[in-house]
Amino acid sequence: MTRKEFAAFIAPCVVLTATLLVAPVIYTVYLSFHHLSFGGHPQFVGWTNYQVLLGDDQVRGALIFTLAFVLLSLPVHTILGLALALMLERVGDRLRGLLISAYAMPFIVTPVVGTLVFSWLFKDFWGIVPYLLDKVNVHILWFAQPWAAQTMVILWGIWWTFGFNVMVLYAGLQTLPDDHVRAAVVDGASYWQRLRYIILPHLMPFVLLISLFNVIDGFRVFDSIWVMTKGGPGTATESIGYLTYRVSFVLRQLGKGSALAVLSIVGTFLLISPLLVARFRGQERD
Amino acid sequence: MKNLNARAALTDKVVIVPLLLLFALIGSLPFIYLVAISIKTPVDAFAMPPSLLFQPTFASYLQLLHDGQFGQYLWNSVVVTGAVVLISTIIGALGGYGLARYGGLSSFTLLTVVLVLYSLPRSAVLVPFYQLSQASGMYDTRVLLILVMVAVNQPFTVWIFEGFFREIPRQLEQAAMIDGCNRLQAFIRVVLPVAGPGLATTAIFSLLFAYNEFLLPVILAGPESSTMPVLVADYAGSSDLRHWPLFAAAAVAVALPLIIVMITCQKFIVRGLVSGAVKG
Amino acid sequence: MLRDKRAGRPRLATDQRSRWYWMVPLLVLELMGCAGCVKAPAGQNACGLPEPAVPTKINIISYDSPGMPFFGDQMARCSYGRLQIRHQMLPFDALVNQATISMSSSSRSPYHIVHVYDQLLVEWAGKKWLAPLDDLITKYWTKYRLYEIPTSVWETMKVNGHIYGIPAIQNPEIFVYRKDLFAKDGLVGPRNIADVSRLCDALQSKESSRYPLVMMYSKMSDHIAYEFNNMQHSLGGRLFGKDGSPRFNDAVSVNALQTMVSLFKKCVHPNAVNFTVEDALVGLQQGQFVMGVLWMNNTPQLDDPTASKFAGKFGFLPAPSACDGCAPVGYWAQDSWAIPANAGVDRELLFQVAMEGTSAENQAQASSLTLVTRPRVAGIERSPYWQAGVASIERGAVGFERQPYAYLAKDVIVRYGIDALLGKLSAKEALERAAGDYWRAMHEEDFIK
Repeated sequence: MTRKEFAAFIAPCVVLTATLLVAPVIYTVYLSFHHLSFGGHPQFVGWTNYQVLLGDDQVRGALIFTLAFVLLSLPVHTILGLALALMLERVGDRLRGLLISAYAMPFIVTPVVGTLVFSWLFKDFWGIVPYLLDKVNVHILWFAQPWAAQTMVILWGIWWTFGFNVMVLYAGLQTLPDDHVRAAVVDGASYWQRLRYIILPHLMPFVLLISLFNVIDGFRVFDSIWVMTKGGPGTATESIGYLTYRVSFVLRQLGKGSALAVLSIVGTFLLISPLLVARFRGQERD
Repeated sequence: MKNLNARAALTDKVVIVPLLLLFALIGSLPFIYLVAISIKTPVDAFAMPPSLLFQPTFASYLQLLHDGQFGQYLWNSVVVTGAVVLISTIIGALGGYGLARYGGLSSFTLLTVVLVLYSLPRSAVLVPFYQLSQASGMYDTRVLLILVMVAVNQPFTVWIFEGFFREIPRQLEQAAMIDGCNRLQAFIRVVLPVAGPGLATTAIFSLLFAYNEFLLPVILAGPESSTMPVLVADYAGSSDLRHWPLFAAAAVAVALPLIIVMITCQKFIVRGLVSGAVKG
Repeated sequence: MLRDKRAGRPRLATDQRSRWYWMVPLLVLELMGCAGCVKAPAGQNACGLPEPAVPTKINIISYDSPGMPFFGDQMARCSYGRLQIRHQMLPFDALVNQATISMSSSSRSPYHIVHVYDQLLVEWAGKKWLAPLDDLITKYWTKYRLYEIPTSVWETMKVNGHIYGIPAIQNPEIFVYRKDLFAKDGLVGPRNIADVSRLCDALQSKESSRYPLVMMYSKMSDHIAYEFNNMQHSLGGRLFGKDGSPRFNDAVSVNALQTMVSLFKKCVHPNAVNFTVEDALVGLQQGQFVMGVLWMNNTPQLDDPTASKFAGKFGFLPAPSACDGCAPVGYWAQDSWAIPANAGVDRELLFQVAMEGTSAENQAQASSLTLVTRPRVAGIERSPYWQAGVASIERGAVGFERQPYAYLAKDVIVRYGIDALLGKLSAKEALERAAGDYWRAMHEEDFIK
């Protein structure tokens, strides 16, 4: 392919991405060094926004909750996705089609709505979860106890993501070369041995990839918290994404909000760097 | 051996199928809840334990049909989603193909760029997007909404396509070019048809994104071009419980087309995910 | 008579058309059909407004609050010839964000008539984002019979001596209770917070209801800040000193927050720290709560058998006060129409459009949904909720304090107030910290040079 052809092929997407995505990113970085309220003029303040944010309790609290959200939900929905994907291989085509569609439901139903209704399931007096727990004499105040509200948000994260994981990992299973498995069966390997030595290693790149996207999605979680708890009780479920929104739009501090956005990109990359390195190594090997 | 198979079949029936169904129920529980609310009166809808004996009413669905706004928003959704899917796939396929065939950029670098753009918090881009819409004079037009959504969706699409095209042997289009096609013709006639599953996957992910996106239309669209999620969220914002069946009916009506798409197309999605970028 | 605001949407020729199209089973065809039903009907000049010389588009935004969307729809009916008026509803937060972004921008606002409540009016007028309406109100005083709106309501539309809003709806908080249970147990409605506390004791023993009371001490919609403001106002306190310095950490304020904490711990469901209004309503409608303080505009559904198990069994009273003879512990909110300063459309035309939608006739129609601002047509005698609301106002209910920096205080009061309810901080500590954070933010945001 000549350079000219290359330019022609990528021009439309480069133009669009540059004007509509890269420009806002640059603008955000620019604003992060300024003090700006809605309707005002940006005043240069140097690193002040960053200094203030890094020393702020609320940022620390939000960071801890966000990390907990990401790190606690990630293994659960990955393993859950894997388990369901493996089990899906054992059922008929038609049932599987319906099951996959049902697992995809959380991201099919308009997200703001699905999330809202998800939180209704936990409402005292009219949600099914407290009702069922009450039958076994467990009483949890999902909206009043910080740990319970945090758990609810983490459960939401698992609910929201597992279907996507099932789809990708099930697809991954389909690429497993049959002869490998057959050879293992002939060698007398048990199911667990096959799983451990053939299937899982084969699925690793898929797991890595969904983890990359899931970590990023988890780290910038915002809409769902806005819909379910508004960060409450108190600030128990305020994530970095929610705090960014609150600083920018409720407190009207656009500069500080932008600095928080930049910090959250940096944070995301610190978090995913091991995954990126692993993926890079994997590709090198290939 | 026979005995073993029989035992496996039993495990399938007793353990695996119920487990799979349980999670299917968990996944679709909110949707089931919405359907229930949409056909119950509020006094029944919020009773716990759930009232199973009730007089179903379809009044809210009828009311939706009378609401002039519903049709307009739905039409906007259809136009915007259709255009986003179409343009995203075309531009994404071109870009992905270019990147796959011109060695300058490794797949890994591309992924890193995609991830940087992907990880930007949405609330940070709202103000620049609004100012852009005002400067261009395109505020509250479907065209603007389409452009912005295509752009936001673009890195992801390009990256998926790049992975697909990388797997398709170069010899394919080289043969066509020897036969006298230029690069674009070879791409359209020879490469694209082979990339069917990839096209389907990206199209469906673009569809999900454009159809369900909420924050962008809220900020960039006014009464002319707003899409369905804005209306549904507005219905949901009512603190009058008597409006909730209407909200639930709207949410169900909005989700139904996607559910149908999902049930009919999940095979393609799975097949699409099998090849290409995802594998790494 | 209007049953609710959605049923109250204007029925135009388009409805007939869309009904016909929806009969067609094919989704695609439906969609094509509805593309046609969005055009403004070319009819007569229903409002008699002067047709502008150039094509003019007017966009109105409102959020879901009984009555206001109805007025917005009525304004849209004034479309005529070159004058095209559209009304859009948005979720509340979305409306606030959208209006904030567009009014603060140097370009023209795409919205021309905006639904605001008292807090938004104060903040936005303070930032000079809204156009003052004094001259137009004087000019149209008799034509639109603006004298029918009480002076006290006009006063709430004033910021720095100028009027910035056209008052349409009043929404005070009132006390609601289950008449049937009160009668059975021989209880009478409360006059003050001490009465409420005693009622709690009685209901907890006689009805074995652990949480008989519902109070919106919630983070949602900043409600706890409003309730704190109410309590503190009732006890005679103020939020700010003359220079904007915090007074919400003084003895009166600590007492106010302490009273709230005691009430909360004694008989309010713990989840109330994150209750939405719907949570409170469902609880009352399904019989979990016996009494509570609510926005008056949300209460009619308690009496509707399609929504409430106990329709007809609710009683309504003005909000109780903190002490005998002091103001009710209840918020008085007003919903009004404002015109952005950067609307870019003739202000007089916008004013006329807003007034046509909020005319006495339309208010009379909406008086079954909500308490409108013209007492003559308000239908007060028809409904017990409106009566309780009017009594709340007459006894001196107020809104949140009206300084342009009030939103900064609101944020910290929500944050630390909830901490006090959760028992993480004492009332005094919570308010001290709130005051400290607020004062820092005042400097950061240049309210204090």
